[in-house]
Amino acid sequence: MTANPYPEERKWYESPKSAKRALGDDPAPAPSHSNRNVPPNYRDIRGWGADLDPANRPMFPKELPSDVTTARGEVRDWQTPTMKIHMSVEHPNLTPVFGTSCPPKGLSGLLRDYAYQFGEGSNRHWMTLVLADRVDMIESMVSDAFRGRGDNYIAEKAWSANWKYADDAQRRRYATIAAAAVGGIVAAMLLRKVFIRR
Amino acid sequence: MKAMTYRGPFRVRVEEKPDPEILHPNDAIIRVTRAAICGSDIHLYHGLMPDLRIGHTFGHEFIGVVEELGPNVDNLKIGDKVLVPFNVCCGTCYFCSRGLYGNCHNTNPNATAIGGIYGYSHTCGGYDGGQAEYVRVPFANFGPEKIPEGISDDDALLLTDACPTGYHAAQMADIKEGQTVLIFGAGPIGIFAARSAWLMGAGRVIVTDHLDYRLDFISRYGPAETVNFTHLKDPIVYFKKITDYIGADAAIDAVGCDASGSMLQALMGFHLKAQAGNAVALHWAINSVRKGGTVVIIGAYGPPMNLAPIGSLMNKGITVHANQCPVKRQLPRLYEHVRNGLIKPSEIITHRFPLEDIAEGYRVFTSKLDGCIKPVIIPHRAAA
Repeated sequence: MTANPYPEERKWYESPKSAKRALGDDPAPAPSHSNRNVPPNYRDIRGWGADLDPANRPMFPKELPSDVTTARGEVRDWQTPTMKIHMSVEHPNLTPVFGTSCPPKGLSGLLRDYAYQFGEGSNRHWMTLVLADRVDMIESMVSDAFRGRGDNYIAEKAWSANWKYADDAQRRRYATIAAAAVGGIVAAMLLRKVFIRR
Repeated sequence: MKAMTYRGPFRVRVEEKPDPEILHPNDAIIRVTRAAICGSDIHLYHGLMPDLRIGHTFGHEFIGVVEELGPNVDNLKIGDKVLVPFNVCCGTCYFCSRGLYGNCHNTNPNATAIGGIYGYSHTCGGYDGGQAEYVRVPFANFGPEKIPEGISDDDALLLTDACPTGYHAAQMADIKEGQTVLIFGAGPIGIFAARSAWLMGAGRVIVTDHLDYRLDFISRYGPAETVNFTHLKDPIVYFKKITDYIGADAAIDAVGCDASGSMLQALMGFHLKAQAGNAVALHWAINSVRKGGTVVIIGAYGPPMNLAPIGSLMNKGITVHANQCPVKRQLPRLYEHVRNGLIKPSEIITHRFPLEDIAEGYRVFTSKLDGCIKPVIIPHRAAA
């Protein structure tokens, strides 16, 4: 009788580093490897093979027959642009519909204008857009501050969730880090006082 | 209306925005009753998608009630409860007419490489998404569907993207009876891909991730063999070993550009933004699939470029299948599977947040707190 090749799963951190397997010829599964919920015969799994026949698969065949030979097909109505819409140079004209989420503005808008001069295979196109996104972030931060709606980093990043949804072990870790940080600051202040007196 | 807005990497907040309007005769305005945060929203949240402008509203998984219709929309009525597939698609262009609704050519002026997607940056058309009280739905005469009898709201919500995308991944793996499928990522897409792989006739489904709680879930939901890759010295060698040194018949990258597992990839893709995200899952998929096998890329990557072993792809004779899921093509079959209890999409929902607390929802999801697998957002006017 062979030993069970799939021992009860353990948490990865419970396993010693020596248990890491990859090299050598030992075929035993890693301690975290489990098949405890898989029936011995895969045909016993509920629904097994329901779509085994490709005819049951919605993407068979991948492309459906069509008589349409032009890129846009037949378009009857076109959305009217009321703001600047950037368009890929790989499109012959504006698409019949488009999003109007965030019109380009400021320096980031100029960078986007520049980026959209290049095709989608060009790094200048994409990397300029990434740069424009970062510039947009700074521009928005400044303009919102001037309008009295400055960014609330703590709420927007929702750091409090890290505590609210943490388990006991995570909370202990956070508490230890916080205590060490506070302790470090207090120690630094005390040392500073000592040195200043001298 | 109230809407989630992007403020920069790792920062979102809820703001007042103008209500959406009908801008085209085929438009509809939907009052959102439920929205979900998708794993690919995390790529946006981390600022990894180019042309992601400050003030953009995310959300491509949502259902709602029709509030207003353009004059050309004759298949819906005001008050209909609809699910809205994440692809913005016209149904008539070269690609839609061939059933490739994820590749519509008429909905994204900003790029030809990808069709329009709700709330997924200006690279995907600049449409505001459904993590808001109201949303504009273009081509409502084609895209949205009335939620059919026997499909709950929660199931319908997950049929807008996560469930069809996982099912699509398993289809693209081209599974033959008894084959071994190796799935990278135990998030919602990996979960549905694992479940669907059995429906396609797989003989063995192995899932790897670094999160024990997700592996635990998928081992029951799939079911599936699971292994935590942080436990392995060399995951690729390990996957070869457990497949008799042949390799899996198909490998599915259900992670995308926010993967863990390689310091080099993380540095290049995540911290320096020198590539379109961290491509370690794709790297492992190519290396652990057998010669002549199939690699499926369903995880989202940014557009520029990624470090991946193209040489092995060629030398091993691997077939790569990848595409955004054309949701509308999957829905009829998935309705049957949901009604017959073969797939239960709503079972992966672990958290619900009011729209006002969406920043907390993103934090919990992205930091994998509290056993989070799928968070759902409920807007203030959901019950109006």
